[in-house]
Amino acid sequence: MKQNDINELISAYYDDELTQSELNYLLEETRKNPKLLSKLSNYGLISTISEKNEKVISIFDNISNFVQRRWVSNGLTASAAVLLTILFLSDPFESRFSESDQINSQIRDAIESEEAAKTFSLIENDLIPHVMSIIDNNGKSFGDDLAIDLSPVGFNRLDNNPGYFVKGKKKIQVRVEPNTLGISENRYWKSGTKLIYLYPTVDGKIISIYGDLSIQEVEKIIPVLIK
Amino acid sequence: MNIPQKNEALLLEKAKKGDKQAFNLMVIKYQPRIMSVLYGFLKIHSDAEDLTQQTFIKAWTNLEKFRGDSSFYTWIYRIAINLAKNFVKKPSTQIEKTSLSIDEHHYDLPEDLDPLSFISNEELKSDLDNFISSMPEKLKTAFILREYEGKSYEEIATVTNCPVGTVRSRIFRAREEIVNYFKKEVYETE
Repeated sequence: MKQNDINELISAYYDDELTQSELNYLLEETRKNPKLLSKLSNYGLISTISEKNEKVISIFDNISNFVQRRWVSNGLTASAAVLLTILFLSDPFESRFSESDQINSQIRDAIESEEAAKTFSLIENDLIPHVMSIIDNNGKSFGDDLAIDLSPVGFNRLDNNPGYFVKGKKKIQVRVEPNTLGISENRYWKSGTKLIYLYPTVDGKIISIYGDLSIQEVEKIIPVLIK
Repeated sequence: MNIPQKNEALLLEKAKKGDKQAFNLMVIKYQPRIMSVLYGFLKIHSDAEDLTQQTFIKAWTNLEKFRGDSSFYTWIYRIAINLAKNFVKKPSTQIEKTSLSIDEHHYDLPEDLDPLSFISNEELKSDLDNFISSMPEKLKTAFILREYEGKSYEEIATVTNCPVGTVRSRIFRAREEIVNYFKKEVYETE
């Protein structure tokens, strides 16, 4: 069989259009000459390029209402909202949303779609990794945390978990670290009772507060922290 | 019998019996799509490439678990997404290149056109569209009906009133013209 004929077989295989005998023949040919597989990869590349930029927005058609109903923010892009929702939904230890299993399952499927992956690529800043690290924090301390005193607003430090503070049944996480995010204004994200609040200080640090808090409560905590 | 079969199902059967080349045929067609998805997540070429390899290795080592409830692409896509999610959440995690390898060495991906240089180039979609528009009418029609409309060769043969073998040949020639265009026009002008 000529080279062109083998390449035509590869093209037909790409389209799932080979007979069994042709497929067996192609398999043997690629065994003898593995470089033939690069042809297959090239054909896949054409499909990938032709799909580019299409359907990127469709993910929002399906889940944007769900996502946007649940996140209140002063600076939340749609794609960031989707990613935060993933983080919350993917936490196996805590049911963050009181939705039915069916709805959560549908959202999970949508989130794991190829369109979602492309959407995430549109996220343009470093905030999300930072917020992710706060949500996932396991008590890790960040330098200035140990100097934090929230007793003026009624919060006491947890002895075994220095980044955490409690006031009655309320538990919050507070971090102070160098502001490498480049943000100059406060940002917050709120879903239900959970609030993530970022406050850039004038001396180049970023205060991150996470927990069951209202914005009003955070606004009382911030002055204590920047004293 | 000379009836087209579901190629993937036949290859899967062989791969599950340990035929690595059958597995290679299954996964390589999806290599650029998986890389594109991972690049979308990670935005770093080397990470996307490493995780693509890890996706294939993980698919190979877990092939027994694939029951065919979803398409094979959906299955490896989910593997890739899970790897990417874990990688993004714990960026310090080293990608295990050696312990997960198929033959105790690096998984070689075929190289001709470099998928990553294409995937990260946003202008190529319009280049491709323009080139397809300029192709001979018969090639263009067969290619568009297959690639964009997802029609089978038999359906295309009916629509275009020609034998299935001619459809197959036209689609192949269209693909070759596109690959050659990218090789000459895009690579040589870089």
